Amino acid sequence: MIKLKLIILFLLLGFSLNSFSQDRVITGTVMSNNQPLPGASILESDTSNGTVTDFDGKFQLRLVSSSSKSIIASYLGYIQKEVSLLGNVDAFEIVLEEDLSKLDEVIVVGYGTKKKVNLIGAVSVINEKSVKGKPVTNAYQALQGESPGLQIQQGTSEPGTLPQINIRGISTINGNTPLIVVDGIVSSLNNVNPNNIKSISVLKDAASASIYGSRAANGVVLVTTKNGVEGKPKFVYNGSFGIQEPTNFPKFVEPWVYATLRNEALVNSGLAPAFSPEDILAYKEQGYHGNFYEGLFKDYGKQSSHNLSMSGADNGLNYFLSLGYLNQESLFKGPDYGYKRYNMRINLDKKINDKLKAGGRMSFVRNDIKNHAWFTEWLIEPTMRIPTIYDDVDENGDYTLVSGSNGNSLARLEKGGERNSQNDEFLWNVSLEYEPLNNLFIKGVFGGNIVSNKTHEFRKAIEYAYPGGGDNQNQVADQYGRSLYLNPYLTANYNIEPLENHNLSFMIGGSSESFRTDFFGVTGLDVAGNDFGVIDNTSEILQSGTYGSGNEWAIKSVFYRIGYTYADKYLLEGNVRYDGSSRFGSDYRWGTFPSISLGWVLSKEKFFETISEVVSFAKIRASWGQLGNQDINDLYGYQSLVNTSSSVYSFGGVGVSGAYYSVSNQSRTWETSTMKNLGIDLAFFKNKLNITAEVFDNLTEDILLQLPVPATYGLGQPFQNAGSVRNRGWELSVDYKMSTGKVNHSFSLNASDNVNEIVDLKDKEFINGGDVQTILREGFPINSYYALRSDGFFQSEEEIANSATPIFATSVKPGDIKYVDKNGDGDIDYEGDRFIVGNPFPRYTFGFTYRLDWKGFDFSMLIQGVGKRSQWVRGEITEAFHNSNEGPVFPRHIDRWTPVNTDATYPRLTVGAESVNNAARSDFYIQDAKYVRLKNIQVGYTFPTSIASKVGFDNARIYLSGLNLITLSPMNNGLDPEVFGGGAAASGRVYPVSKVLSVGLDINL
Amino acid sequence: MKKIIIAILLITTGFGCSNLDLAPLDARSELTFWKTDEDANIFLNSMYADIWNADAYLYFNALSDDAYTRREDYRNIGNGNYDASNGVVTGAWSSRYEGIRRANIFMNNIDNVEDISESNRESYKAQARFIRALHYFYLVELYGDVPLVIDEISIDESLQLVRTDKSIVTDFIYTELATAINNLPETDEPGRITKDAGIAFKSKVHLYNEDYQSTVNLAGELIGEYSLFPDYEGLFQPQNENNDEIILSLQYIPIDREHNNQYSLIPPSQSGYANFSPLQELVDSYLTIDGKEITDASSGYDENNPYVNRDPRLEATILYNGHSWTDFDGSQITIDTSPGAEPNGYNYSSNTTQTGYYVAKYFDINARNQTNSGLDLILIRYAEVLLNYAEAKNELGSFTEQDWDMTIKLIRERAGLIGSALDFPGGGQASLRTIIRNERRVELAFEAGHRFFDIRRWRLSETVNSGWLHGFKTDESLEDDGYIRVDFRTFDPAKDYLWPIPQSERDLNKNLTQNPNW
Repeated sequence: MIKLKLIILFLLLGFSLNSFSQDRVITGTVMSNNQPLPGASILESDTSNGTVTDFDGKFQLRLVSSSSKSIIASYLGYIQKEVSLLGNVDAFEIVLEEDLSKLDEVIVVGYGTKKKVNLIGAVSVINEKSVKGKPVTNAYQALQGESPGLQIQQGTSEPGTLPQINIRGISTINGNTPLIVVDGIVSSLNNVNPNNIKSISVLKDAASASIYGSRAANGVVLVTTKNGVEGKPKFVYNGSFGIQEPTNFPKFVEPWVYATLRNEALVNSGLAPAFSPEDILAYKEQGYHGNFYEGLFKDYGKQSSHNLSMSGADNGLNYFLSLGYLNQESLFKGPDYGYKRYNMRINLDKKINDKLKAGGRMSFVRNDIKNHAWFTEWLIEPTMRIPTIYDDVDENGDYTLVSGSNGNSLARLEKGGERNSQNDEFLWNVSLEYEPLNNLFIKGVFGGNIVSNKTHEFRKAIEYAYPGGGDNQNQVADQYGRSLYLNPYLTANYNIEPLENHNLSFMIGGSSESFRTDFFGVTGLDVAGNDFGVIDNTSEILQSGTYGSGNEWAIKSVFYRIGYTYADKYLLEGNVRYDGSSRFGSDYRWGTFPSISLGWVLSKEKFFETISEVVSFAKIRASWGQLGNQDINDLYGYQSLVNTSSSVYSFGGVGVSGAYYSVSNQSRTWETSTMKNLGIDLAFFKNKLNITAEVFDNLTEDILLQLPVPATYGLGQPFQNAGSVRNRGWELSVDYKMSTGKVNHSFSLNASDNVNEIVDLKDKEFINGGDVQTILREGFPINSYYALRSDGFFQSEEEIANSATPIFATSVKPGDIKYVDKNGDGDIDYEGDRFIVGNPFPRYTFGFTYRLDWKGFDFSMLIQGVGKRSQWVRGEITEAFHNSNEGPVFPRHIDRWTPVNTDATYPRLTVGAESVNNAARSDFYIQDAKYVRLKNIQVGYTFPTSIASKVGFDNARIYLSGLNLITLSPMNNGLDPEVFGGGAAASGRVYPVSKVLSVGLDINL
Repeated sequence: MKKIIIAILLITTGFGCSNLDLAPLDARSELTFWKTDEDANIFLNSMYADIWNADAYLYFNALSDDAYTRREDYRNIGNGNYDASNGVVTGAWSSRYEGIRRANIFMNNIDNVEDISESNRESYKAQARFIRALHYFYLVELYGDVPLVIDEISIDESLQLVRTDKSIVTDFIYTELATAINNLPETDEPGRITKDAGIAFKSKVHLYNEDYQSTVNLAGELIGEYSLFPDYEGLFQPQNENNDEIILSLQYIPIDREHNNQYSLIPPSQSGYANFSPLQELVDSYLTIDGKEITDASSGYDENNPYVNRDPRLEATILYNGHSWTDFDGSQITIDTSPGAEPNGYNYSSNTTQTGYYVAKYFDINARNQTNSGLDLILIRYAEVLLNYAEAKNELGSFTEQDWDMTIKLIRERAGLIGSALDFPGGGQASLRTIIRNERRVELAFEAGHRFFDIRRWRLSETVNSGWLHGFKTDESLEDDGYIRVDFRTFDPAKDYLWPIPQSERDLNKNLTQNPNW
């Protein structure tokens, strides 16, 4: 594959060299404010031949037409300048003037674009620069820390896994993922090639998002992919090669320390010690010989990417073609596990005539994920529990079976077969825009995607040299799923200016979404010979692993927008959207979601002129609006259904089918989010310093909840419109650009906070989870941790006698955790004594970017973090001898309570039933998981045109880039502080987060 | 302009080709169900799966002095460290009420089915009544007074329910079972709830409620109708499923409906993880082969060679140190559970036994992947009927040598006891009670939680399930004569004879009262 890429590159190179044919060469410098202007474009008039200036503002252009009379220099935010060539002069110094009116970026908004000055909603923009050069494996990672209010969390770097994304917190219990729209079509970021991204708009309030009504309650992320710029075809190659290492590993104690502490725990629990002093001495001599957990991982994994694109525009045709390849090796040992992604994209736009434009986008992505055939969680769990006195492989090279496992995780990785997934995603949209009257644009778009996922798993039997191995049966599973999503829509936009300075705009549109997925799978057992694992070779089909079905949903919408601006000073906009969803019964199906927003550009007022030297721009915006949400997994639950399934029981050796009622609620309907936003945009010193601040208040009502119902009802919990949740917060972003001599600096800081509160839950409470329990309770954040509160350790029998102890623990001794008796009844029990103790959702998220460039060198740095977060960590990753296991013991357990170490940080060591008191669900295990992280650092060098052009390049840059290089956090258990959620994550049974160090090369020609 | 907007709206409507009235691809509406015999039949099938799940069937036995488990929720009930949020306490409640809901749905709709023979309709109804009565039986045994729900109630109704007096619920059970017995099928179909199953179960309910005459009458109807399977060990092996002793069993089949109880029972060298370990207290309750208690000075019991000359059911039930064993490959091995012995010894690793014992009963040598078994789990067998009869007869004070010969003697003979073990011991009601109860314990060990329910109804829990319970003798510690301490049990008779009503239920429904002292 890599070879092929190089061949293509060289072919392109040759092609490019051949195109030099004319003799006249124009050189020059583009300047502004006495500073060279790098990146300005130079175009030979009436041709598509052009170039861009280098970091010194210099350019060199070989003319293709002898009849050319001029060249045109342009740069975004500057007034374009045409320079005559008639004077037979071949060297120019071109000075561009800043265009203050044009300095406003054009921002992509719902179903259109808008000048930033005219924007009234809360929209953050992330541009190409923020994505560039980061050694990320998906586009989400590239966005982390780049936008206030956009929370991205990735608790593992396991190849093929995706982060969680939220905008302005959690507004509902259902579907908290923002709507992601790529080039106008509802899609996902999962497979977008980060290299293809031109800009991303994050729509956060009702004013900006309401046009997406039904799907926008969690915010909207609009992704625009690249297109061509006027001129000759431009070829770009980006390649990078990097090394991944885990950010963090749990540390284990040495064998002799383990044995000593094990004895102590046994004795503390009234049991006989397991190790004699001689054993311990022997362990001491033996020293440390690794642990099972680290034994699963390689020292490093490679990661590489190659991207190639061609783009340009001429004769009204704008094109962008791109190929991409990503290869991320897994850190797991075993036969070449990892993730490969192949991206292909074609973007085309054609102006057919003055009234008609057509466009198309097509993207094809293949994901190849090769993984072990097991579950990562259950591979890691036993390795964490096994004490360091054992080895995963013995002196004969045989996998061992020790302590609490009937399998060996390393053997499962290396010999246990594999699971191969091939996931294809095909996205497209075709659009036609017609302008029948001046300023009336009618646009029809037909877009959608087809996703198919195929997984083939062959879990091999493993023969262990030791007795008791449980991996004796091999199994083959094939799974296939395919979905079709269609999203056609039609809009009409009309702008008029009936009176001078009075601008009116109208938009009306309709859209439809439909989704259908079909899936099936089959599992077979016992392939003779433990090889050639295909279903054909299995000797038995497993009924419970054989399935097939499908489901579908659909939404229809009509929407209107009306906008009014007066002299770009007073801005007013209103939206209404009317949505119908298949998830609701016909009487409850349709919802109307209006919004209104106002803006005032103060800096356009006369009174502002006096301070305009300092404050170059000022705008105040306010919006109010409502959005709907219907994103519940239960697609058909408004009607009562009878499902049948096979082999629910058997009679005389024959399986029989059964029938089950589903739980339903006919009257369920839309969740409604009412969002209020107040924002201010300020620019100072000729736009060098930009500040945007927002405050918001979002109230989601009628949340579809599976309210607890009594078990005596007997049919489970239907979704009911039953709760409301409020999110309030603020966002701030500050950008500053400056130059010191030839060095350009830019600083940008973003920070945000969001307070989540359940306002109404019909006076009910939900407690969820097993070992990690969360609660939904009015007045507190969604999914707050609910646990006993610890209060140090008991120091004496007397103290125990005078204190409340858990009713569920028969033995409490000095050194055990003491709990707060909340209700003062003299007993500790979960019912009466649990407190709300924090929650896992991040607060005070921030990102800080610093960029510098000097004479072709560039440097950038992104520091990102979370100022407040709790993570409950349970199980073997945190408890010594968790759940009566032999291990583990970590260094932090050494400071355990003993009669001579009463000022300890960990309770007395115990095993089995003696541990009941200390293993209680309490805040003792809730960790402070705030962190600050050097997310990305890049150092690059762009070769001068004079050098680059000698090998035929317009531009070439090499760089070093690092991801997740340094992390600081009070969380000290060996887990990455970004680990979030319950289940596997809360137990530390996850593949670690990686840091990546890579070198890259960008070539333009 | 207007025209254009209208045109757009028209096109938009055209766009709205996606239909919003979507029906599931894989499920029927409730409205079109209940048409045919098959509808009723498959609905009834799913009710059978509610009777007991394999996991609870086994682990309920660890709530008694027969076994110890590391599984927290069960262990904590066993040793008294639990409250109204305990997962087993809430789980038993909710799974029984789910089963009751299904039964109520069935009873409400079965009469609307048109395409069904009347005999099938009545037979199905009788089976549904049996299952619903069984749910209520376990509910009243565990929680005392419980809401009696016999209709498809709404959520609002479920929020207002009150607890019904145990005696009323029990009367309901009796009436329902009486009705069911009249219509239950008399069939050989394995697994089907038959008329005899109805009779046997009803006799047990009477026994639990100390209505001994009814127990005797009902059990008497079955005596002689069934026979004991000649081999106690073989009784629990897959090749002997559905033999003449079985009255009702929970049916499993390999692959498609299997359980993995075996994983918790067998030693690590056999791929097990000892999550369910027999206690010394049970081991000690097995008599010598000639029927003497081991504490009897004349029994010849040798503490240093404790497993010889014992009731053969000990060997068939418990895998003790030095037990010979057939490995999955057919080879003969000896299981060594002695402290630190690799790989099955006590304290050797965290998957070895906590007591020095594993479980031999239920061993399925053909289990898929060594632990996934299709072995049926017996719910009612003839031996239990005989034990119910014997116990009730003795409580009535009329247990005769003839009764002995037709009950305990048969059971002991089949078990392989010899000599004086088979002779009627006489000695009066109290000493016979001890003998009958002990016989019940060893005969039905690890089956359907019998021991747990028995010591509750005998009000023995605070006596036998209290203080340290033990594993085998290792002499590692001098305490308790060198028998290892496994679990410290506490049992408060003022409180623990009824489980608490689950807290989550009482949070939702303020009408539900709590049991005393919870």
